[in-house]
Amino acid sequence: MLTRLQPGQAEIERLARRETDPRRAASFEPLALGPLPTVLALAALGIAAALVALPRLLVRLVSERGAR
Amino acid sequence: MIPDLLVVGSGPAGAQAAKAAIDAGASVQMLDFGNDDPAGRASVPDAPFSVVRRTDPEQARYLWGARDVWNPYEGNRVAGHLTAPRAFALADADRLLPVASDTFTPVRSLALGGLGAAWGAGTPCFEDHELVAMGLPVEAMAAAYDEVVRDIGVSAAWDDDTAPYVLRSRATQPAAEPDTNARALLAAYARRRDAVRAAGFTLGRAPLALLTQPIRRPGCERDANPYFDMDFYGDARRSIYRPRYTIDELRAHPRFTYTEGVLVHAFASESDRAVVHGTDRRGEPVAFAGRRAILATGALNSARIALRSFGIAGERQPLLSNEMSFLIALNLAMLGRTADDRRHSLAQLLAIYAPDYRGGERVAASIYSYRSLLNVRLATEFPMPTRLGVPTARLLTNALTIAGVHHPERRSARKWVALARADGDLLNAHYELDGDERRANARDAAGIAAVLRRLGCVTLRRIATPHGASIHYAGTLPMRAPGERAPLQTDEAGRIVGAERVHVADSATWRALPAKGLTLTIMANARRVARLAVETLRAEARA
Ligand SMILES: Cc1cc2nc3c(=O)[nH]c(=O)nc-3n(C[C@H](O)[C@H](O)[C@H](O)COP(=O)(O)OP(=O)(O)OC[C@H]3O[C@@H](n4cnc5c(N)ncnc54)[C@H](O)[C@@H]3O)c2cc1C
Repeated sequence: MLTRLQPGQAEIERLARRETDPRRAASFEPLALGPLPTVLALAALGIAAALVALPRLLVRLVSERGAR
Repeated sequence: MIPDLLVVGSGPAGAQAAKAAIDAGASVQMLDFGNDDPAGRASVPDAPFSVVRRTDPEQARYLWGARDVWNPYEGNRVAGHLTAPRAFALADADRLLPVASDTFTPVRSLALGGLGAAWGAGTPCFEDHELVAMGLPVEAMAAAYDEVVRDIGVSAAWDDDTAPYVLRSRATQPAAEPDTNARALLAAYARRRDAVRAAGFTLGRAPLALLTQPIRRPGCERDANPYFDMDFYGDARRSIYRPRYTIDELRAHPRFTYTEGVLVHAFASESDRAVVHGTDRRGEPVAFAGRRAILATGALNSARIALRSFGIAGERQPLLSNEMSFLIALNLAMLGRTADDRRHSLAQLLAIYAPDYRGGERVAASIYSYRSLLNVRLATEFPMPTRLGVPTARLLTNALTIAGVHHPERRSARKWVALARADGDLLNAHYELDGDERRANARDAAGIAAVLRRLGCVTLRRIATPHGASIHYAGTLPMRAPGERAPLQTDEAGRIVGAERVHVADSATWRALPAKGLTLTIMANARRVARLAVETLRAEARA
């Protein structure tokens, strides 16, 4: 289920084009916020990812039930 | 006048065989398919990665390429990319060096420099007991290692715990500087040293064919690595050894000629000469004669050519290849910390793991940091939308630690190659592990992961790669020994039994394959084989 959230080739190409634009390079560089802020930021990103995944997960569960 | 030696292939084996033969006074014609990409190379600036990223509007050409060109690890994209300027190393190989297999996915090259045009330059030596198991003479190999290390330039750390396992030639240059992440790991290792050593684990800086001091001699001008972190893309200063540099050096020599555009299919060993048959780039037949021939086309390709020369189809030759897995870990000491841009991009550290259950065999793990690759490669690995994946990758980059684990190899009847048809180039291959091998490999990875945890890393994933992804191949034309039953065998001088005038200089002749990087040993053995071939020519001339 989770792999469905991974981007397709077109999205990857679009990102790569943006990343290799020197004017945008800085917004792709490694971030060093210090240990604690980094852990907090990662936790927030993890929660956000779970929230994004949740509706799709529900839709899938419901449709699988329906199919049975 | 025919040359003393035809050398087929310009990879690490061919380049070093030719160099040794020229040094020994012979004349050499090198035959090679010889794909190259000078324009791609020239497009990469000689500047730090961080500067290139912020200034070069053309950077997509070499940092990304038209698209992702090659991926030997199939779905496992973490370390499998060959960057755009290296892609030529694999061009045409699937089509012209065909291998059919459901179980084995080998990488082959038809490039000037062979797979050495793309290699990671890890250069451990093998230990005496390993050389003996392979069938190689220890003293002659010690001398040959010395020559290669001087010739190509190897940087290494003699004071690291790994030295007894991976170093033997004192002709090395000082070790390369470890990057910030590697320094943190080495510091953690120093604190836990006794405990992890007791588990059979040692850690040190990786020996690398990367110059920390320049090499200057006629025909060879190479500079020290500038720590620009551009080593996956360009090498304007020639600081990382490529066989092409040796070919360039040899081209200036009157006894050397390089003939490209030849795809070799077979040889014939006649009473006074060896004849090599091939086709040119248009598919027209061509033939070349030399007093002797040396095959250096890589273990799989040399087996193909030898089998076809004898018209042997359907009969199995052994196949050796190390299994490989990746451990993806986070070094917690680096989480949220800055890392220096000044670094080289190759393997930073090499771990040698010799647990009791391996009975003296070594497991080798090359340890990389994740830098100088585009964020997109990492961001799109996470199971999340890219607007979340990009910041996640940015937060993790400096702490990301990747161990490429190579496992010891055992010869077995379930690992083989055979020519499909006597008059064709298609090689069938099969590679299968038994339960014991699988369990031992899993145990190796678990053991190394446990040590990494003690060094402050969290392991996120273990990725098993398809058989053949290690790019370590050997054993397809094994040296004869009591009990050896392979249809085609070689002797101690690398000569093919039944083809007196044809020698094999690559890893096809080895009877065993240690888990450490094999290419330095390929080069040393190629020099040894070439010198024996020249000595035989001399003896013939005297007789
Ligand atoms: C990405 C990558 C990273 C690597 N990293 C390391 C590392 O860190 N350490 C290490 O030890 N090893 C490494 N390797 C493996 C290393 O590159 C190989 O072990 C080495 O190149 C083998 O040398 P070879 O000369 O035997 O064969 P090859 O390098 O395969 O060279 C074969 C040559 O023969 C020619 N040829 C082949 N068939 C024919 C034919 N039929 N007719 C004419 N010419 C032919 C080719 O053009 C080529 O010049 C790496 C490889 C890759 C791809």
